[in-house]
Amino acid sequence: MRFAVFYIIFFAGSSVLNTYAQSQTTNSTNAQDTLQVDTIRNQFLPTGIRIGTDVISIVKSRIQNTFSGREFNADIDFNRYLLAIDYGNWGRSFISSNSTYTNDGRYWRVGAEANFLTRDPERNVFFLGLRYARSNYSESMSVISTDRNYGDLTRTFTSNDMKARWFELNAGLKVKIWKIIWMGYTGRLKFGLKKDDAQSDMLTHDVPGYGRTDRETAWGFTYHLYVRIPFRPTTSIQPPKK
Amino acid sequence: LGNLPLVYLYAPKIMIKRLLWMGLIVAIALSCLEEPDCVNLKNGYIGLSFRRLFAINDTTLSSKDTTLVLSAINANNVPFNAGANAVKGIRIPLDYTADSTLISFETGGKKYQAVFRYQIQPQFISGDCGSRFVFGDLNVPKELSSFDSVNVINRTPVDTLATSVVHVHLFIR
Repeated sequence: MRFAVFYIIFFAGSSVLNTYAQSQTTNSTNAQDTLQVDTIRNQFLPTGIRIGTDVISIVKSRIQNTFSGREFNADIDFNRYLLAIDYGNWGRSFISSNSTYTNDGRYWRVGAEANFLTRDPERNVFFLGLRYARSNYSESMSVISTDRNYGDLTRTFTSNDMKARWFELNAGLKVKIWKIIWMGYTGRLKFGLKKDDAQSDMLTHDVPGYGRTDRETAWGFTYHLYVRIPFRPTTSIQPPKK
Repeated sequence: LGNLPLVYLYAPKIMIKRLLWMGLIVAIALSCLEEPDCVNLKNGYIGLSFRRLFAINDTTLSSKDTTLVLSAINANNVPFNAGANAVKGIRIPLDYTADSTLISFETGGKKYQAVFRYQIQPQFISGDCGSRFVFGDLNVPKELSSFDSVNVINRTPVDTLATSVVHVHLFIR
C-alpha cells in the first residue's frame, strides 16, 4: 500500500514536471547557437557538486525537546544521474509515566538518483533514486514498573554499539533559487530494516536515520538548502527538441 | 497581449515554487503521523495443558484428577486465581523481573515442578504508552522439571490470559 502511494505521488509529480521540461525546451531554443556537440566522455563529466543540509532537522532540534539532530547532504552529477551521499546524527529522549528513553547515533546513506528534467538548461532536478543506509547507535532506558503478581521492577537497560541497515526509495526536487543557492526536498520510503538487537539488553525503539522500528516501512521527508559549486558551464543534458 | 508573455515566461518558475511549498506542507503532515497503540504491552502469558502419559485414546487428564492444583510460583503463594479448569490446563503470567519462572503443582499428594525459561527484552513504545516487555524463546529444561515428560509446542508467549493457545504439554503418569 505504501509503495502504491509512493508511486502515485511520483507519477503525479512527474507528469507536472514533464510539462515544465517541455516549456523549458521552448524557452531555450534561443540558446541553440551556443550549444556545443559533446563527446560521450564529456557528457558524463560532472558539472558541479551540491552540498547542503536538512532544514527540518535544524528546526525540529530547536522547537522539540525530544529531538536533536543534523543532516548534511551532497551530490554530484554524471549526465542525468547523480551520486548522492547523506550523513547525519540524531538523538531522541522521551519521558513517560513509567520509563525514560534516550538514544544517540550516526547514520549515512549512499545511492544514485536519475534526473527526469533532461532538457532543462539550469539542470534543475526531479529525481527518483535508491539508497542504502547504515546506522550506528546506542540507547538506554530506565524502567519503573509495578505488577500485582511479581511486584516492582526498577532497572536501567543499555545497548551500546548497535548497528542497523535499510534501503530507501527516494523521490524529490532540487531547484536553483539564486546563483549558487539551491533548495529541494526528498520524500523517502524506508524499507528492509535489519537490526542486531535480538540478543541485546533491550529491543530498539528508534534507529537514527530510520525512525521507529514498530513498522516494516517508514516514511521520511527532508527539506534541503544547498550550495552548488560548479566545475564547468551547464547546459541541458539532452539538446532541446527542434 | 498585456502581461501574457510575462506570465508565460515565469509560469514554470511559479510552478516549481509551488511544488517546493507543497513539499513543506507534506513534511508538516508527515510529522503528525499516528502514534502507536498502548494495548497489549506485555506478552508474558503462557497456556499449560496437563496430560496423562501413555494414555491410549485421550491423553487429557480426566475429572477424577481434580486434586491437581497450582501450588506455588517462584516459591511464593499462588498470586492469582488458578481457575476452575486447572485440571486440564491453566494459563499463567511469567515473571517479568527475571528470565525464568518456577511453577509447582500438587496432585494426589505428589508434587511436580517445572522451571520455564525465556528471553525477556524491554522496549520503549512512546511517551504516552511507556515501555513494554517482550517475551520469547520459551523452553523448559528437562533437568529442571519433575514432570514425567514436557513438550514445548509454542515458544512465543501471548499478550492476554484470555486465550486458548497452549504452549506446553506437561505429562504425568
